[in-house]
Amino acid sequence: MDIENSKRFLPEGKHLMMGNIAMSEGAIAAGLKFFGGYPITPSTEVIEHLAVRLPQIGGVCMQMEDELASINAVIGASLVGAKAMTATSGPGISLMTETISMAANLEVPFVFCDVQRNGPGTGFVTEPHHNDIGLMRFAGNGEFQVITLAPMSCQELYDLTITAFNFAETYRCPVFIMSDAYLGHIHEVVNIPSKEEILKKVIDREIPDEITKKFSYKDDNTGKYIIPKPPIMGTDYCPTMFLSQPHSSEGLPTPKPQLFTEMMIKKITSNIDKISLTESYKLEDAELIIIAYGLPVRASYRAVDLARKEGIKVGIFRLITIWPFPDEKVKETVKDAKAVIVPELNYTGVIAEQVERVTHLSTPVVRIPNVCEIHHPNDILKIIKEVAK
Amino acid sequence: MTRYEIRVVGFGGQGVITLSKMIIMASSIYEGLAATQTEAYSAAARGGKCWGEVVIDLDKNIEYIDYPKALKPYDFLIVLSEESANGVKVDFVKNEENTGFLIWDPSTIKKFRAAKKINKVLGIPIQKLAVEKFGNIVFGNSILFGIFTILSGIFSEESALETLRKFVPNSTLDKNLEAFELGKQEAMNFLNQIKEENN
Amino acid sequence: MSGIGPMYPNEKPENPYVLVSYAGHLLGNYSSRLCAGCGYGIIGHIFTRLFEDEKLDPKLYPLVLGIGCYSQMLLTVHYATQKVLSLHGRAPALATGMKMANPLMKPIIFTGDGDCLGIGGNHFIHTCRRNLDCIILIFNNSIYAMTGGQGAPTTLYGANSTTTPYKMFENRSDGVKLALAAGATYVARTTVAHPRTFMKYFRKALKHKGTSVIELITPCVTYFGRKNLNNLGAEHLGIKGEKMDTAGKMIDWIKRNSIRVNKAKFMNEEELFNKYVIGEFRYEPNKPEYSEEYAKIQKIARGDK
Repeated sequence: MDIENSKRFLPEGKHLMMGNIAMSEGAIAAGLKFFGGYPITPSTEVIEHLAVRLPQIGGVCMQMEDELASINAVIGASLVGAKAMTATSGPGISLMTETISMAANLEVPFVFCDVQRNGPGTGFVTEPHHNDIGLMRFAGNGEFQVITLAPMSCQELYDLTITAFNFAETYRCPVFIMSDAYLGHIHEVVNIPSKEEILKKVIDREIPDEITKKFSYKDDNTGKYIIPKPPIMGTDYCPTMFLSQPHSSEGLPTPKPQLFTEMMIKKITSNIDKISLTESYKLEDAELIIIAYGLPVRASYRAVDLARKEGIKVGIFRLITIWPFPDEKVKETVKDAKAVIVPELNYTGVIAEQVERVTHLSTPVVRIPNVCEIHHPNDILKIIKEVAK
Repeated sequence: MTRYEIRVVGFGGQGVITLSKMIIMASSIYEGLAATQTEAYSAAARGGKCWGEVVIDLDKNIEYIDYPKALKPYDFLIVLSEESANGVKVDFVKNEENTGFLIWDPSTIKKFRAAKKINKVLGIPIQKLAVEKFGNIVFGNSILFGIFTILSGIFSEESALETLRKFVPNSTLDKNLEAFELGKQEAMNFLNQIKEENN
Repeated sequence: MSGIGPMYPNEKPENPYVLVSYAGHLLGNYSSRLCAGCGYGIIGHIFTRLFEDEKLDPKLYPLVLGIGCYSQMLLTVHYATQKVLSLHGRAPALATGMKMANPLMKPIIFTGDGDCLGIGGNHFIHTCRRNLDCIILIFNNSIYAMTGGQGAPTTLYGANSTTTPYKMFENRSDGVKLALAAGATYVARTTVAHPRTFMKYFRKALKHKGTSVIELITPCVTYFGRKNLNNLGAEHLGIKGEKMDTAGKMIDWIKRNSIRVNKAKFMNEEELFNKYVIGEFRYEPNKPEYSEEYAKIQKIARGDK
């Protein structure tokens, strides 16, 4: 059954929406057909909302028996040609890693929204804590590359979810949307574009052809990594078996696992220019650079404005795509900086570590760790002043 | 800073969260201001201590709120339950001209120490009024919304009425409009009272 | 004939069912990596045969496999089938997603006893509960064979395995009873020693709309038979046992240990101890099926009357 377009799109204009709902609506606009989920605070609104909305447009929203079943059902649905997603939180993603790894191997496109909460263990379930960010990079056994997007407002939750589905269709890999307990529960205005505008952006699951029988492969002549359209089971254009072992482009076990692993990673990283979304703010003459993602970006913008008034040359390099980490872009941006400030909603500073790796520790990296507490512009301003001295 | 911080506290079921949603809708959708609303989650929203917070940036050029939680001192504090009233201190509310309001409900709160020391305090038995005049405590929301519209002056009355129409089922719209009007009157009286005091 | 030539001298490559098997199609021969005496050869062959004879549309009958020795059946099942080798225990969940995204499909799920009743127990229960239109085949060899003969939830009392070196002392899990309790609408059990019965049941399951669970008792000579005596389940009768180190001995034991459901009705618990009750346990074709029910929900949501 195809998705009905009449109820798929919300009326154009401003809508007041909770973050989780904005994400769900973004997914519906992107053509979501199957959602499998299990209630977990703070992502519950997603499944609640989709249970109402998806049947209206001919889609399916299933509350599965557990997270393991949810993600497996999502993979099953994606295999037969439905755009599929799930949403969960920390403990849920921990359970799902096994299947994420399988999906990466089988190159099944799907979107995964992680509404992060405090941890480890059960944690404080309604507190924001970007502590799954490492898990989202190494989501499962085996070596593979995923894409993770970090929105910072309800509007971006809507827009980036559409982008996430497009990435999933194009690169056939797990795509994560990094939300958190706070962002998921904020109510904000979301500007919904017109139906035509959305449809122009959305990459649909294309009708398969002969090449979709194949999995990704490296073209020996050009050295490029070719990612065919996702196959659809139940059509003539589908490999006869989906075997989650190192496989050739035909889907048969390959004797060269190293080439396969290389392909799994390179097919994403060789397209990093297209995948890596970033934003710059007042970077032209900046001596200090704030590298931020997600919610702390908001506070950073204000802090930079305040610091500039006091004559401190500071700018922001914002990561919208966190994984794959844009090594070259970050290197280029921070090469003349005196110091880099990384405000993060976690203690370790996962992205700060990446910056240190990229700069070979040549630039001082100042972390502003914050757990379960959002950065206030003044917190960041204080650090900026200290570093500027 | 052009931030306008609003906090509504009470217990679940009083419409605390609905009120905060009405405030953000009127100011962001109809007035085009940047605003965020956050609310109590899970069990609290259904019976325990319940709160809703709205931050509005009065500067029209600002696209989004930098820090989404409402910060003390608040511009506008609405307290509807005994339990939450106990935690309120004098410095929770701004002591500035045209802002720093505390609204509380004497029909649910017996004793409110901090209220005596705050400048712009309006004690109005919302719950009692709602039940006696309109027959249900949910109408208290519309009374409060009327009060907020006049005292804060962030959004126009048209925006407020438009919001009310969106939130309220058609069958009770008339009663809600009445309640809104009542709140408006109370607020105007209160403003006049402040003016007289200042003179 | 092309390919690597006959690996088994006694095999008749001209057998049409061998030729339509994946390996036969690919290599021109029936090649498998299964041990001598394994029951999966029989099952794979029957499946291929049914697939060919019933002219099943491979687009509508996707094959979802769990992890176990039976995953090797990838090579022996019909070449045209579209197969997914899913994760250990998660096959029913994956099939749920497939069925719901394309309700015309009827997934056929291959699972084992450890796969379905051990690690995937929850998915099995809930697939049965929903009465999702699919066929779940549980291959019960009462051992974890692929990992080298560890005790399974279905291992018989007193049996020897590498993780129960003294004897198995845990209670046995019963796939049929579980399926009945969970709400599957067609439940049957048979053994590879009764291939015609299996074909009958399988045909019935293909026509049934709802969850069909067929448990198949199958021999594992290498890890179960060699280490256990054929008086398992009959020690109390004083029968002297001998090692079941050949396929024949195991098939004999399975036959002797299987009791028809009609007969089992008149037997007490002690007499049925360590036995397999075979036959059909439930057939309720008129129970509401999940994807059809969901379609009704979609109608309500749309506001259609």
